[in-house]
Amino acid sequence: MIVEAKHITKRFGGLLALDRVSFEIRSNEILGLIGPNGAGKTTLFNTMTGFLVPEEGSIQFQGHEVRGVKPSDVCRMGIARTFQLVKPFGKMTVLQNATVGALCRTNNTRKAREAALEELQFVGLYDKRNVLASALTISQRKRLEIARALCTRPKLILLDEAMGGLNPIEVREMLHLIEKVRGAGNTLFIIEHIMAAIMSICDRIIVLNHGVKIAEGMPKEVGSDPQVIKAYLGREYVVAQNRKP
Amino acid sequence: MKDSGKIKWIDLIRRDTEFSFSLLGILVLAVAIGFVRNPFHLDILIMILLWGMLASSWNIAGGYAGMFSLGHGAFIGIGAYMSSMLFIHFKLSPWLGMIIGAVAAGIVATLLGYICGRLKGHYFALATIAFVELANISGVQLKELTRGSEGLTIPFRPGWANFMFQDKITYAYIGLAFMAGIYFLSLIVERSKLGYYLVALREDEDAAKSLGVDTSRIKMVAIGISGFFAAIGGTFYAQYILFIEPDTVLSFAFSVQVALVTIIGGMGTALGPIVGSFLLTPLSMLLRAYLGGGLSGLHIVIYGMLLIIVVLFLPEGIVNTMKAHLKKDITGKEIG
Repeated sequence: MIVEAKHITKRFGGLLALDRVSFEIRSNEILGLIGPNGAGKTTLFNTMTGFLVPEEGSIQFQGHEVRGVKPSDVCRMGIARTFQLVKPFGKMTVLQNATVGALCRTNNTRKAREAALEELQFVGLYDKRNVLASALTISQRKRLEIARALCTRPKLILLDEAMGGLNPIEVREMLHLIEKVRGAGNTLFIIEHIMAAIMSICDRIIVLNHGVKIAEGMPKEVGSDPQVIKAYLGREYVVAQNRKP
Repeated sequence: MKDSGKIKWIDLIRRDTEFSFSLLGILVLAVAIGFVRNPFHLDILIMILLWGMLASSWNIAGGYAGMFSLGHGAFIGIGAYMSSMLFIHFKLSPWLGMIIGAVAAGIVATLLGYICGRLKGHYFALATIAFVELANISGVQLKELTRGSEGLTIPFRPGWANFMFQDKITYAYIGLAFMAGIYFLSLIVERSKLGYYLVALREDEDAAKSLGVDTSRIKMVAIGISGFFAAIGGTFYAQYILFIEPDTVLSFAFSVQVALVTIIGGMGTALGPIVGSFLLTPLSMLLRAYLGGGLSGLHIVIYGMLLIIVVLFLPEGIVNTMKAHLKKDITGKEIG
């Protein structure tokens, strides 16, 4: 068990964005997080990375409390994240972007650059290392976010819609990359809207609706859960699934 | 094991072309100063070096870290007033006063960074304007210390210990040494962890946080360093002009000028503030010298129009535009 979250509650004024959400993340698994827009998925990521402090509950990461810890310190503890709307450092080169991440573990810029180059190789951006990040395509930007996150030597990586806005070929490449990241010994927690993608890659899936966890389990179980179908997937999804040979 | 992350000077000079060219440039300047005989030209040169060092200090927070301060006049003023008051009232050498003033300004700047650090973009700029106005009013009102709007005249007692000289050329060499110091410091910062973190902070604060950058601390460090060196420039100004008043060294106008010089030259580059100063300072002084006697205000109108033209056609500043062109020439396409 790498994460034990209990009763996370987050309010925005009168809105209950997260309502006593509890879950666990096991070592080296890929855990999926799905739910309709406004369900609180990104809010949950924000509470786990120090960007928001939940009003109640606790988030234990490898036995240490994450709640109330600053984002930069959460990163140092070993939780890295990417953003739904990618946030590249536009006027820095791809290599410099990744180096910022690597400097989290060393003060030596030369060593950081070497580590950054390794991760760029890993995600397939090595050839683009001297290009300004603002010149990258959306799929390259998503890869850069992952490379930067990996540079911080995390144990757990939170990916917020790493496949959003990608075409089917790029989605397949991204799935391959995520599998590769897990293969390197990482644990992943991913938000995704592309159902086929998330169903194929996740070991388990959590479903949020209006800030409440309404289901949890293997992709198949979750996909056939009547509550999940009603809240998120819709009847068409089920019909389409049944039509498949 | 001996790799300690420290930057070795020898390595920088040997491997870093920007470093070796800069060193050459400084040497050329040093030799050139020796050939300037005309006191007005020497005056222009000293003011170029002064604004070069002030703008370089501003650039550390305003350029690299994107903390757009319009209040650096306060730090310049703290430096100028601190060394001058210590000299007048306690006969303390301005060299020591300069260090004390710089430390004081650094502390004040760090506090400002702590208080205003969470303000972003324009709101931060507005807060710094309020801050320099506050400093200006204090300078005017604390008459027992500063003599208010009358200004402080620093008694002229030339000598190295007093940081005052009969000949302008010594000022020019000291100015060059100061400007070169801040310039090389900028180059070193650019290549260090701090440099990466400053630019990351400027480009996207949330992304920087998520990658382990303690942004609130980095902001305090950036503006602290920036204020420290701006104050050193302030003391240099006081020792050269030998007269300071709140409406110069503690003014919003000074604050805008340091920002302007950097914007025209190129924010976030070590060379930018210096190029900006070499362009704007002589321009402003020559326009004033040749047109100031005629229609009043004409030189300011022309200066303003030239600024608008530069900003329209080179919005990224001179150095950044040049760098982009150089890279295009080498590779045929636009890359970092």
